[in-house]
This record gives sequence, C-alpha cells and structure tokens, in this order.
Amino acid sequence: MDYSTQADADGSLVSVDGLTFSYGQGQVLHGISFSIGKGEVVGLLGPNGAGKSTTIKILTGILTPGGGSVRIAGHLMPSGAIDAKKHVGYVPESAELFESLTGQEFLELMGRLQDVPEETLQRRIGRLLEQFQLAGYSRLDEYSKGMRQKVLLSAALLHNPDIVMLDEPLSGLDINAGLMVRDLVAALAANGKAILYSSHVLDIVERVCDRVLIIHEGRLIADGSLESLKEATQSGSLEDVFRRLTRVDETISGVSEIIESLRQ
Amino acid sequence: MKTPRVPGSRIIRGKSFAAVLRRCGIEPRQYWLLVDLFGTLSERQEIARMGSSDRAMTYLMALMCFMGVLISLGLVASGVSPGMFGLVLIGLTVFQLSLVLLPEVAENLVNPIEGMVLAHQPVNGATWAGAKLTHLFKLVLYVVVAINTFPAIIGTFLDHQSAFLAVTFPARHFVAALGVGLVVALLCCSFFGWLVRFIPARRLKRAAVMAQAIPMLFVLVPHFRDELEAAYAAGRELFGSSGWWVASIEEASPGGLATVLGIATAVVTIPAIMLGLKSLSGDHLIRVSTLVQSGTGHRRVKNRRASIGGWAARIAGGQSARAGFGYLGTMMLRDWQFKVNMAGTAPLVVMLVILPALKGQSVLESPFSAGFALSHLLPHALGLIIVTAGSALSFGNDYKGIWWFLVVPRTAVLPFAKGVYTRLFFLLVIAPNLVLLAACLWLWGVRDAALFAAFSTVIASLYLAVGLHFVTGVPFGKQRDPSRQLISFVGVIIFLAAVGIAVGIQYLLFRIVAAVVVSVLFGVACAYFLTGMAIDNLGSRIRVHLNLLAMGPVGPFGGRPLDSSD
Repeated sequence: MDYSTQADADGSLVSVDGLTFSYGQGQVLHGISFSIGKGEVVGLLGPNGAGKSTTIKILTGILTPGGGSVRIAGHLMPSGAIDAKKHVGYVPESAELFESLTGQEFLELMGRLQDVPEETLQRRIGRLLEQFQLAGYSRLDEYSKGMRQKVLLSAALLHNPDIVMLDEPLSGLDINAGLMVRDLVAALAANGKAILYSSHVLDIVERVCDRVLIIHEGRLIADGSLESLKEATQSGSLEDVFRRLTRVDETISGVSEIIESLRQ
Repeated sequence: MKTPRVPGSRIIRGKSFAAVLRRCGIEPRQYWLLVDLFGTLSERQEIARMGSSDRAMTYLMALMCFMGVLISLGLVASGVSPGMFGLVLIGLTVFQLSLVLLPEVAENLVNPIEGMVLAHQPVNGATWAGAKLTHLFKLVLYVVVAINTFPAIIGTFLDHQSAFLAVTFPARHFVAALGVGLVVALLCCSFFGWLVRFIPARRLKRAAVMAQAIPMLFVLVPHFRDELEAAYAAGRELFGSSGWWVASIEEASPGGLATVLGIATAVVTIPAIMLGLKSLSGDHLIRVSTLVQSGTGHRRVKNRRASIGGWAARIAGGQSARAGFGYLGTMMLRDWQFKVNMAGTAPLVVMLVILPALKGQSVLESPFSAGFALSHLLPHALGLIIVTAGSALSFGNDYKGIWWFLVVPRTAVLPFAKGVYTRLFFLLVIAPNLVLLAACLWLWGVRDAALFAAFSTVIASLYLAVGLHFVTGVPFGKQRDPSRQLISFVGVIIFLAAVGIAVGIQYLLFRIVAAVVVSVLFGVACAYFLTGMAIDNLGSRIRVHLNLLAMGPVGPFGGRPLDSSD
C-alpha cells in the first residue's frame, strides 16, 4: 500500500475535474471541477439537495464517481480509494455510530483501522475526550447530539489526516465547542491541512474559509475568494452572494404562505 | 471492546495465519478488529442477535436441541439405518440453518449503519467480507452443535455394521453436519453475492425479501413426494439404459455413480460460491452506502388522500384513529422486515390451499357438500396470514423513529390502537371475505355462500383478536429479533395441529345449517368481546412500550445496560 501524500503538480491535495454522479436515473452532479491546496480552507455551500454531501461522499471514497476524475492526496479515485482514505478525516452530516460502543471504544476502533500506533492512539484519545469533555461517559446511545458530533470530530482527527472534510460539523454543538472547532479549523489549516467545510451557516463559512464553492442543482456556480465573489455579484456579504446566485428571493414569498396556512 | 479469550486464539491470531489471510487479500490487523467489532455488536444486541449469548439465544438453542433429541429418538425407535438417521438430521440442520442464515445474512450484508460508519475507513472489501463470514460461521457452529450433539450420541445405539463404526459414529456425524453447515453458510453468502452482482442497489432490498422466503419452500417438498420418486425412478431407468458411457464412468469411479455425481456437484458449487463471495468482497461497503442513498429524493411518492381514512376516523375515534389507520397501512406496504415475515407465509398458504387444488382435491366444492371439502381450510389459511401479520407487526426496520410517539398526548393511544385494529380488520378480514363471498355466490348459490362467508368472517375476526395480542407495543417499534424465526416456526407447527382439530369440528357443524347459523351468532358475540379486550390490551402495551422508551436509551435500542466487565 502507498501511504505517501502526493500533492498534484499544482500543489493541490484535492483535485476534482468534470465530476458527474447519478442515483439511478436522477443526475445529481453535472461536471463539477475544483481543487484544494495545502493549508487552504474551502467552504462548500448550496441549497438542500444541491449535491454537497454527495460531492463530499465521493471525495471520501464512500460513493464511486459516475464520471470525471477525482484525485485525493495524489491517489486517483476509486482505484486508489484505500490509500486515499488514509489521508482523509471525515465528519459526516448524520451522526451514524455503533450505538452500543462507548466513546473510547469507538475512537479506538477508528484509530486502529487507520493503523495509528497504540501508544499515540491512546494519548490522542485521552486528549480529545478531555478537550471535548467526553471522558467518563458510557455507551454512545446515551450521548446527546452534540456529544456524538464531538466523537465524530475526534474520530476524524485521530490519524492526523492531511485532508479534513467537514459536513455540517457544528450541528448540535454548544457555543464553546463551536468556537473551539472554528479555531481548530484555522489551526489545522495553519498546519498545512487542506480543509473542505460544508455548512449552511454562512456566518461561520465567512469567518473560517479562504475560498467558497457554491453548488446549485448539481452544478458549480461559483468558485472564488469571498472578496472576488462579492465583487462579481456586487454584494455586501456572503449571504447576499448566496441569495443572488441561488435565487433565494423566490422562496421568500413562501414564508408568508406558511404563516397564512397556520392562521387558517 | 476486548478480544475474546478463546483457547488457541494466540495461534490463530499469529503470524502464520496472518500470512494466509494476506494471501487472500485480507489485511490481518483490520480483519481481527472487525471480527471483534461484530462480536461485540452482536453481544450488545446492536446487530442481528444470532451469535450472542443472551437468554433468548440459550432458549433458542435449547429448543433446537430438544427438536434434535425428539427426532433422533423417533428415528432410533423406528429402526432406521445409520445412513438414513444421519441424512434426516443433517437435512433438519440444513433447513434450520437456511431458515436462520438467510435473514441473518441479508440483515448483515445490507446493514446500512456499517456502511455509513466504515465506508470512509481504509478497509478493503475482502477484509470486510472475510470478517463478516467469520462472524456468520459462529452461527453455523451454534445451530450444528444445538441440533446434532445429542443425536450424534443417540446414533451409537443404531444397528451399525461394526463396533468401530458405532464408536466413531458421533465424530463422523458431527463432522459431516459441520461440513454441510459450512457449505450451506457459504452458499447463503454467495447467493447474496450473486444478488449484489446482478441486481441494482435500489432493488436489492426487495430481492432480499423474496430470497428469505426460500427456506419455507421446503415445507412443500412432502407434497411432491410422488413426483420426486417418479423422477428418481425415471432417472435411474435413463441411466440404466444409457449405454456404455455411464457404465464405464461407474466402473472407473471407486464409489460408483454417487461419487461421480458428488464430484459434478462440487464442480458446479465451488465456482458458484467463489464467484458469489468475490462479488461480496468487491467494495461492498460502498455498495451498501449507495443502497442507503438510492432511495432518497428522486422518487416522488404519490400522496394519496384516502377517503377511507376519514371514514375510519369517524368509526374508530377521530384523528388519532386515522393516524393509526394510515400509519399501519403505509408501514405494512413499506417496512422491509414486515414484508420478509409475510413472504414466509406464502408457501404455507400454497401448501394449505393451492397444492391440494392442483392435485385435484377441489377447493371449489361447497362446505355443505356430503364429502370433506377443502374449502373448509380457506378461513384458516386466512387466519394463518392474520396471526403471522400480528406477530410480525411489533418489529420494524425504522424502529428508532418511534420516539415521535413520545411527544403525542397519551390520550391519543387508545384511539390510535383502534385505528390500527380498523386497518387490520378492513385489510385482513373484510376485503378477503368480500372476495370470498363474490366467488362463493357464483359457485354455490346465495345460501351456502352467505353462510360460509359469514362463518369465515367470524373466524377471521377471532384470529385477528388473537393476532392483536402478539403486537407487543407500538407497531413497527422494536428491533428485529432473529430468535423469533425458529420460535415462529414451532408456532406454525402448533398452529397447523390446532387447525386440524378446528377443521374437524367445522366439518361436523356444516352438516346442519342451523348449527352454522348458531355458531356464527355465537362467534360474533365472542369476536366482539375478545376484540374489545384485545384493543384495550394493545393500548396498554403501547403505553408500557412508550414508558420504557421514555426511560432512556436502553429502551429504543433494545440493548442492555453496559456491564462493568465490558
């Protein structure tokens, strides 16, 4: 197995070119292309069902690309998926866990599957559980949503990956933990990690990300730094950029209809 | 999660076995991690419970053991040859294994949680499939040991050709049973491998449902005994007159034609198993993830505004009853576990009704006719479906979703239970009996048809009142319990015996029209009383279930509190 990290010629750790994907007959992604370099934090935005999570699942090797090419740490997907997965830490959107394991057991399992040496693993687990205030809890089915999210974040970082993909990482986290994750993302990027950050919380994306990708109906409709996007769309904030590009204004009238239906 | 201390585990987990695993494309370290993981999840009842060591499993093994002893004692008493003794018990083992393994394999191979948690880990397909197979082989050991341990000892009392054969019988029988068991397990897994290879992910679940009804087809075998014997005789005759080539094969083979056929079977079976397993080992975790995703978003389900729901609300007690009526109808159509259980009844209904009809014993004859008419069986075939539905309704795939019921006011529970009953009554009692009435009117005339349909409706209502007692909480609100599979099989045997007695009484009643009228009226009164009681009890059981659910995580996930030793 090849465990080496190889950036592409242009220095990218993630390189996607003309990516397509479909579930049965429904085309979800229509030729998406982008790349993420070392130390870069890239925000992935889009309305529900736009294809954000599908894109991340393809990049993490969970789904097989329908067409186009995907390279992760120099490994072509899906043929090099096993090697690529060694370099990726992933926080999924839904906190699926083995409910009957304890937090410690789950992290041990994930770390060992990633071949982290036992001594290092136990040290990292101890630190992560302590920092996320999870030490002492028992089975995962007793954890709150935020605690489960903390376990997923810990599992994603245990093997010190070069690429971190976060799908709604702040879901369910309390304010302190949310702030900690925000700082953590910045610190990881400063340590040369490539980070893909998918979220609906535009405020956080605006603060954390160097660059933003906006996917709408399976197509990449924007890729650029925050300033360049604001300038191109003549908007004052990321929220305005998003509204303009995904035509959110059309849904505003829907709000009054919902309120009206509740009155009837 | 700890590595179990099994004798010899240090050797098995040593370097030499690791080299063998590596040669098969399996990463040894990850393989043992996953084997331990599946063992732990099974122990803690998170994945299918077979292979765990809780009380239900002990009970199940004791039941299998009892069956094995009973059958072997019967065989010894009837003086069968050692060969036939072994054949019957291994046949029973194969039947039980397929009954237990097919749902287990389906559950294990299409378990979405594993896909979601492990798919992004660097685990190759061969490692995952190898660990999964190892976990399933534990099951084979459980079933083979439970059924064959005592019979292997009892078999020494058979009439053996020599003392040596008598003494070695237990070991030979046990090895044969274990070998056949392993082949059955491999066949089950490879069968799913073939399904995975040829069936698109979004249809895989439906195919798996149908596959799980296969073991129940064994019950049809006795019906085709004559045909099988005729085919065997024809085959012998054909081979006997097939000229020099068969004779030369027989002569060349030390064991005769049986050896040749055995080798031929192996030649076909081994590649089938290998190819099937290869399909499973090829990125199966990714396929499971696709399976989970493939159902989302892109197929619009028609939102039917069923007017019958409004009617049900009026007769059963308002919107809560309508909720129960609608919930049950939708879930019965969509829940995988429920469909699996119902698919299992199909062969039994075929055995009760369709096969006798095909063999010329007419089900179209009126029950009032002089001889015994097979139409007497129809209400009980329907009863079998009703009782099976009742016993399957407690379990569902989306059992975790029932936490929603916790936010519902408790006053809604009883009307909800009434709605559940109303749906079952319309679907399983009224609708089939209306069809029966229409068919009988055409065949037998008004009097016979009306009386028989009325009698059948009453019987079905009584079955429904009984079946409702098997619903142990919120419908579709509990995790599947595989140990029920065998218990329900024993239940079916008891059911068939009871049906025999009921049909006998029924035959006598239908000699006198007035007796039928009186029994219908009496049955209506009983059904009314029992149904009222059954609905109230269902409401109570739902409340208890919800109370347990509200108490914490032990409830919804069916697990035990964590032992201090874990």
